[in-house]
Amino acid sequence: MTKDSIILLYGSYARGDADSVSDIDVLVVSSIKPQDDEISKLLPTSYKGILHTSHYTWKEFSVMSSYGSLFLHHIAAEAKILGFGGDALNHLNHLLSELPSYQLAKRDLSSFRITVNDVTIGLEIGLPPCFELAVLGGVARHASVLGCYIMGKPTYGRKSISQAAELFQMSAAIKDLELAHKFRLYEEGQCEIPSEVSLTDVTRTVQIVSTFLDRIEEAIYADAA
Amino acid sequence: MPTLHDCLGLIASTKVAARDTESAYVLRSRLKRSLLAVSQLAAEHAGISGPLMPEDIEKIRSTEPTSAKILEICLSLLGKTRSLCQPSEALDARWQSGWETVRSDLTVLEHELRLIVTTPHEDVVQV
Repeated sequence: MTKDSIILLYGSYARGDADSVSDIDVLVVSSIKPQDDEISKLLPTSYKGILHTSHYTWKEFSVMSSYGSLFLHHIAAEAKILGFGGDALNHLNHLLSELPSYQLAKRDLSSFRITVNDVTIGLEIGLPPCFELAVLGGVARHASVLGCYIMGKPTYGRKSISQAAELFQMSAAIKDLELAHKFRLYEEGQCEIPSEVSLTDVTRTVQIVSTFLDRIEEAIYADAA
Repeated sequence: MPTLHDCLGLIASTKVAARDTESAYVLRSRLKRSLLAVSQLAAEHAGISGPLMPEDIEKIRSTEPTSAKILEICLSLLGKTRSLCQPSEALDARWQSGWETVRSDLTVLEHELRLIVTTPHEDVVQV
């Protein structure tokens, strides 16, 4: 481990709610990304998921902290230290202690909307509905994390979807949003294909996610006002 | 099944997203969609089954030279997408620095795609 590096565990294993499809989420902040086998040595042998490592340089991490990155809020809320060198822990604590509120919510919402519109294009040219549903599942998850944060109830795990749907009075849509997210997990190789999916299913989910984004947008503008 | 015209349109929209320095999220999904569509077209050209998801591209093997080249470029771009994207956050700054190499590969991909029109394999090409 280099002198400027810190390695953190976050996500379901850090929260203690990992299940059979959970991956092992690790954040490394350092000038050089370590090999996965070096990281694996720091993990308990009982951890069985796929290792997903995010690596940022300190410069990138500092930029992220300047706009109050939601990911850094996530780290500040639940990460556990696996190892560090030199002064890296103090540096991390300093950046996280000065973390402002998230500044890019409107931009994210705009990106989510463009991405949902792109799904319609994908369907029109005959791309597999399962792929387009996975794209919607990604938007649903990311929008949920943003929505929970905006509503002052930050939630970063898979439960963020149901939590956000309830916060935005869309409980009836939880099943569809969670199914879309399961396709996202399938795309990432974390589970088998959840079910057959039709064009109609995806079109319905486009409408649901669009409504979900409308509700989050209202909250963002209300919060800004 | 996407046509050549569709694939070129998706690549163009990916390049448009890249002009905006704050669109890493959109860029990532557009690039993956482009790679999926292109690899489906290449697979069809070779008379083999195409991928359902971008991550399936690495499982596809073609002996038809044009398709094989296209699939190789798609796989390379998928690898670059993974290295530019973090599981945690689509970081605009990283896309800005890594975009040039992606754009260069996309230009090569566009060139190879157009060769599909001039090198029909059996009679399965739709353009």
